[in-house]
Amino acid sequence: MTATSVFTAFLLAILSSMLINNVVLSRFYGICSFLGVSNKVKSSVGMGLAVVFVIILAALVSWPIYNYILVPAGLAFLDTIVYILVIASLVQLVGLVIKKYSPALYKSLGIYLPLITTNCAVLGVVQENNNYTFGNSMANAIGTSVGYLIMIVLFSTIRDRLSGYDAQKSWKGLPLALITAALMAMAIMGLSGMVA
Amino acid sequence: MATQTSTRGQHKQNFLNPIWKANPLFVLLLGTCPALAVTTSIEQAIGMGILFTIVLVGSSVLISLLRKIIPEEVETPAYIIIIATFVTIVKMLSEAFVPALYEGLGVFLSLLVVNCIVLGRAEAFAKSNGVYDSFLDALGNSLGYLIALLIISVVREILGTGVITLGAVFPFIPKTVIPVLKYSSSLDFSIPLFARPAGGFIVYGVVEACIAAHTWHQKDKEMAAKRAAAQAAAAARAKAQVAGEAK
Amino acid sequence: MEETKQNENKLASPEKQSKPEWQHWLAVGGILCAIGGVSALALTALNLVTGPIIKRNNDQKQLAGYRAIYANCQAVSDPVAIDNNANLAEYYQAYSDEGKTQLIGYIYNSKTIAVKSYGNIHAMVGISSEGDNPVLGKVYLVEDSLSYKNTFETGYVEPYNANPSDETLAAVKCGATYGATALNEIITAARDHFTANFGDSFQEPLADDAKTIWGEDLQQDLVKETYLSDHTYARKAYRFFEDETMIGEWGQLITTKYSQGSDSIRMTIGFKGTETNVVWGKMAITQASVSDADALNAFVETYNAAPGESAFDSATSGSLAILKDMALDAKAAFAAAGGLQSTERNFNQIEKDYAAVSDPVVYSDKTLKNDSYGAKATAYRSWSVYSDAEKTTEKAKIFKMRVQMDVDNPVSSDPHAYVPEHIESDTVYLIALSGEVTAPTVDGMYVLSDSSGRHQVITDYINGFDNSKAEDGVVGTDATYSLKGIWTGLKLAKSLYAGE
Repeated sequence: MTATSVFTAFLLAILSSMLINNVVLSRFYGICSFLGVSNKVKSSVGMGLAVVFVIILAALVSWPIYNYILVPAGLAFLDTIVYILVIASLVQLVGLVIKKYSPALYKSLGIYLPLITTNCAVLGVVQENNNYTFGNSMANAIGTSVGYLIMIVLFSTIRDRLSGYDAQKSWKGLPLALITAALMAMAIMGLSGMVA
Repeated sequence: MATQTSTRGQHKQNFLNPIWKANPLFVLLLGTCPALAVTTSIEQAIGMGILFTIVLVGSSVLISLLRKIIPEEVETPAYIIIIATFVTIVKMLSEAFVPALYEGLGVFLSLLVVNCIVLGRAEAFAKSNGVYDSFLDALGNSLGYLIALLIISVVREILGTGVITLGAVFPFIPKTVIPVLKYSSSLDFSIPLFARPAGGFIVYGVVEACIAAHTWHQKDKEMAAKRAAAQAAAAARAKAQVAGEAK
Repeated sequence: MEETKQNENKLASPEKQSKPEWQHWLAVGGILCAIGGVSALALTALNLVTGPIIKRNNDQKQLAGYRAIYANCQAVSDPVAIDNNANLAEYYQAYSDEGKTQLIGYIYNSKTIAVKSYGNIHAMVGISSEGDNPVLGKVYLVEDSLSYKNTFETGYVEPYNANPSDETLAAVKCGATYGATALNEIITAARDHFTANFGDSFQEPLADDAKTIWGEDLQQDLVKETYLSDHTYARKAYRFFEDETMIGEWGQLITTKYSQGSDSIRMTIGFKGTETNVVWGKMAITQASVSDADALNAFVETYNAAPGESAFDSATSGSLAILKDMALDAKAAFAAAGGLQSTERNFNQIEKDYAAVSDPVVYSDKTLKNDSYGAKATAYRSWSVYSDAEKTTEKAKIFKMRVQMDVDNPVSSDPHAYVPEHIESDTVYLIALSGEVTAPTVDGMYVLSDSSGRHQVITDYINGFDNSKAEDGVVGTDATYSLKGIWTGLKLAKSLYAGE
């Protein structure tokens, strides 16, 4: 494989996990935070960026742990426990680092940082990477997290606009947001043949 | 944090509350990831519900048992280890005994570790309540979650595939296909959109809207009743006044 | 307050309220490790119980998979690992008996391949051999967790399994292209591995064979290669056709292979004649690594001076005996496939009771067009058939004709305008003419091949043709254009008959 074709494959892998098999709208990871945080655009951006950071780091750390420590020792069944502990520690670490170097950022992220530990997307991506090569797992991590960022920002801008409109009272708020998500999911469906 | 002592009535409340009034999926909006992902098939939803029950009940009970021993500083990692252990147990058992369910649920079985409901109940209830109460609370939440999953999956499977397929996941059920909307490839009234991700969002949104409508209806009734009572009181007062004046 | 009291009790220092910091942290750490340790122990114990069950499930799945690939598979060999292959993990030999003596084919077990971020596939594919050539077998999906699983399976896997071949293998554009491409790579890798390790990559020197055996220059595009199966030595048959119609063989080459340990012989031999009356041709040794190679070559020279079955009577020792077996096996293969499919074999369909046939007269560039009906007739060759063995009394002439049609019906001048359709056909047939050169009698016609949409009508018309039929009779049938084409060929044949 030439360098350009490897790079192209990498880009395509990112594209496919970002848009075509989107993390929230196709694979259903991270919906709790998706619905809960997207009331304001600003907090969505913050959450999305934090998620990008954490997912990439978590994938980077956990792939070698699985392939070089757990599997050779025959302890593959401990993967879930190890992963979640790694993620929890990573989030704590990231929190400490941000607190030290940028207290303003830490303040604006607020409670969202510890919330990332329970974000299905992080654990989901790391579990998916079990059978991937290193390149594919990093592509998966990058694509998934950026896809999350794109979708949550899009979603929150729509929700922001929607909140100003006078909807029928039963549909106001969450139900309408869910229908919006459904429409976004339908739009994504249309991309499914794109990289074929 | 003081331990709450519960009376018989409170026990009943602990169990019944989460099933409808404080339903973890529809009211508290927790645990949405599996709810949208595994509900394309009724059998899988039931399977997920059962496994979820094992995890929630097990970890709640254990955490409640150990609540006086686990120091505050290491609460979170300790809970995580306990929950992750139960999830891994459930994963191994299902891979061995119901491999079809294991494959169907896939990653979402592992994601029970970070399921907001499980962690939420541990933090909010199990760590400050007795074992029996925690058990009831967990059972109630699981039942509520199972019912919620069932509602969504019944709609999605019938509308989305047109048939109800049994026996694909549980080996002890004979394989049956019950046609509801789809009788053959030419006589097919199903709407495949509901089997896709978009459909999951739609069903969830519609159910939420129904619940909101119900809540509003209740509120309106209350308001009307209040107004009626206030009117009646005012009328009675007026009447009394008139009567008093007349005297 | 209650909690602090509890803490005190636990740490067994009832008198102090503030304890040494490190003791506190030690206890905290200790409890966490205890919890972790118990959980690890519990899981390891459970793994000991469920591990074997999971393995057994997977093995059952594997066996079901083997049966899906080879229906009569009873046992497989131990897996042989494949190194340095991105797609394949190992292969098994599949046997149809428990005793593992009857080899059916090979089963290749792929690795678990992740398809971008759509999920994983893990497949087993069967490759068996026909002679030394790899034959694509069915595929069994051990794991398929693609998000578009259904499209993948119905669009690519099922068509392939219904007919494993190069065409179905290559049809990856099915709405599930990534998954199909991944599976295509697995299957191709398996076939390549098989060819490299168990197959035959020998390139037959056809041009040299043709020169040695037939004394002719090779015309590559008039040769068809077929694999022969169920023969000890015979591997392939090369059919040589007389013209571009690819109908009518004039000779066949059968290639054979012998190999035992380090000895090997490859021999190619020519045949003509029918399955009951085999005509032996010369032979050529294309490769030989035996101790008595000189004796072998000497024998072949003697044989080629006078080819025939009796020449093998003296081949009794060493490689000569083996050569004899190879030649007889080749003859059997030739006969089993029906012998030489020459055009002359069909003569008795239209000319009964003839005693001899002349050599063919080959035409070049003899065509006749009928633009009103979009037909082009070509005459390829003709023979004279004689009623006596001395070839003095000509009974009839037989012409090999071809009619090709490529037209949109109706052509404007046709008063009978049918619903427009595109007619494309290619019919090769024989015409027997006898009698007066200026007004010949049509003894009959016979279809050799036909690829038209009106196949049955045309076949019946040609095979049932007799002299009483008239050209006007075709108008108003369901196949006017095609039958007009047949008449065009007849016109050309008649003009050639008269011109001689």
